[in-house]
Amino acid sequence: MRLHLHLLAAAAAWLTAGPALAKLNVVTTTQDPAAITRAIGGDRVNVKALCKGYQDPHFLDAKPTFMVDLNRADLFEVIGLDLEVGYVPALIAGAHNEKIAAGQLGYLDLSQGITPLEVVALADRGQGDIHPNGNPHYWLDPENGRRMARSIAARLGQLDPEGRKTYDANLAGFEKQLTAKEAEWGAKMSRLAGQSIITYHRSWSYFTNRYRISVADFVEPKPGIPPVPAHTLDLIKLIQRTGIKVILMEVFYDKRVPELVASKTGAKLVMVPNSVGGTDQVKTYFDLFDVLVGAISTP
Amino acid sequence: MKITLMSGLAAALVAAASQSSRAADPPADPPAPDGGTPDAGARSAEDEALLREIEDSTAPPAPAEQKPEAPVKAAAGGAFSNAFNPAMSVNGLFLGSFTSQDHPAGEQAHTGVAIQEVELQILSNVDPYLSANVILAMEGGEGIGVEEGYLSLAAQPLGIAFRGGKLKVPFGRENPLHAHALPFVDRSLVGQAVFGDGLGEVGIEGAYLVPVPWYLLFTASLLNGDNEAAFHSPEGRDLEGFAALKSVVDLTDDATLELGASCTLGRNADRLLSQVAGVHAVVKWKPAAEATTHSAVVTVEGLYSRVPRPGIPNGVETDTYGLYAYAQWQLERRWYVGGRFEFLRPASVVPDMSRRESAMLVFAPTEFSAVRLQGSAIQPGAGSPAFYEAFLQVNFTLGAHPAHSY
Repeated sequence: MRLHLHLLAAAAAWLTAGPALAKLNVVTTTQDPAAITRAIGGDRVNVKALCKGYQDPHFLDAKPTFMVDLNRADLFEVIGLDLEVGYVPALIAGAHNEKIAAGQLGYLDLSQGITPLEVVALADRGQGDIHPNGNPHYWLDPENGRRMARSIAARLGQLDPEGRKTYDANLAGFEKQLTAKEAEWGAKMSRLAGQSIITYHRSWSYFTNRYRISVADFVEPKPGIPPVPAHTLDLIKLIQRTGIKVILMEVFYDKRVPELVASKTGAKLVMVPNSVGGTDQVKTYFDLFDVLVGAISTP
Repeated sequence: MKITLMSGLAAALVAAASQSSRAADPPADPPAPDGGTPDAGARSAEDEALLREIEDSTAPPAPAEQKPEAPVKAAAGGAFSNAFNPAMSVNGLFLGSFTSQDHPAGEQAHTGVAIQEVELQILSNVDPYLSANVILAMEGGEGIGVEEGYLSLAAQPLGIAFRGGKLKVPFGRENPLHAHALPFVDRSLVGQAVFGDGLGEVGIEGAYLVPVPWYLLFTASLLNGDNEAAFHSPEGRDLEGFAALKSVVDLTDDATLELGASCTLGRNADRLLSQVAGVHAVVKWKPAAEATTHSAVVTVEGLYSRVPRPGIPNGVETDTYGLYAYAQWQLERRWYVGGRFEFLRPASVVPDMSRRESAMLVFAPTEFSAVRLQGSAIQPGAGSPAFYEAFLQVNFTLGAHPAHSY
């Protein structure tokens, strides 16, 4: 009965959705481009992110219900660098919407606007879940957030020229706030500059690179491979030998091994969201760094 | 008639290609007054006139007498490039089998170790208008067969996605799956009884996403009808028709319900009209916060076929029906368990049911490899004694394999 009510409500919304067609429909794979698009697009855009902020974006399913969203999309924004290779091709194929096919104006690969780290010369799955074209977790550098915002504003302006002034004005406001926030975050993170930390997955390279932190090792023995005892033992010895103080991990990974390592070494386990929506208090791109910087820089 | 079918496909490709070439260009229309996106269906008269002028100016010229061309020379240094090589992948299935039967029939499991199948998939855009997907399969590790080989149109006229060639027909839940993507080591009893090795046919297919608030896909195909179990008319003009509806709704953010119905009609070896119909339901659950460690799926699919034979009344000797139901549960990131129940009532003079119950344990170190252990108890019916089978399957993927359907 509840399902019927949902369907009836959806049908009613669809039948009465005429005026909403004036807005650009934007679908993003993850929450961070969605948050930036909301900031740039304001009330000229409807934005939906497919992946929850507390979900591992490597492992989304190509749900047919996502295809319905993409069928009506004017713009599909992806992170790229093969982060979504497991589902984006299938979603585009099933969406029956030529506008958002790769190469069209309605498809925006945001990685095209950034300089990727860790590009691999020779792709080899023996090294785990590596991304041959570069590490895809680039939104964790706020300067890449600025580049994403510029790409998004430019593309919104191409799709909706009448809104270009609005998008440019919102972009200027976003950048101004970002510049101010970067000074604040930089001051707090300067305490950790030059130090080494452990991270669970190879997903913090851009963040640590920005704040001049070294990553000594990972909880995963190889990217995407769950922890194994021998590597965990090596990790404990490394932390004990070097006095590393922080183990950084996303909220969606299994915390049992990192907790064990922390308890054996005295290092602080910092569990943080790596995307907008990762926890209830992270609602905007600025909130994300407020939470990250606050959690990591607090002794 | 088969030539006519392929000619029709070619005509459809050419017609859609002209539309695709326009779709590939950035929109030239002004934005809608309300600031929305330009709408191709709302061009002004001036724009339409300009569009016609552009089309006229770019129309192919009348054929002129052609002069013989000079032979083309190879580029200096023989500069070949592999930059345009297609995405390629290999799936391999190695299978160890045990059966309690002393003398299993030809199609049944035999005790031993074998290559179950090796599959090579090659996938790429052909040009801005077409993409191609070719899947070559070596069953038993011997001989190469084209399991699928089709072209897809980039353009989707009227929102319809077209593809043509040899297709695994999207009949129900199990039939479209390749061997390495099957939920269990073997296909269902009813699937094997109705379609043999599966319904893979040469033809053209159109798929339309019905514009309703939930996912509703309508698919229709015109096929050659070569399947020996259900069709295989000696007359080439006897084509097979196929239609299916698939609907998916979100029950919650973490769970979906899929319902589907499929039917196909065509002439059989006796040129009588065979009919096959099926329905399926799937419930999937995968909590977003634990998407890599916990998930569950429950599937039920039923098939019914009528393959008439001359001089035999329709009924128990012409009708086959059956059902399978399975559940799978992800215990941990790398561990899954599953159970399956099936029954089959094959077309036979002596109406009797056969049943099979299976249990499976899966260890999947990554999404590119898995080891599956399956045990089955089979009650063949018709007075035959029960027997047991066990399988140990190793499944691996090399290369850039595209994502499987949901």
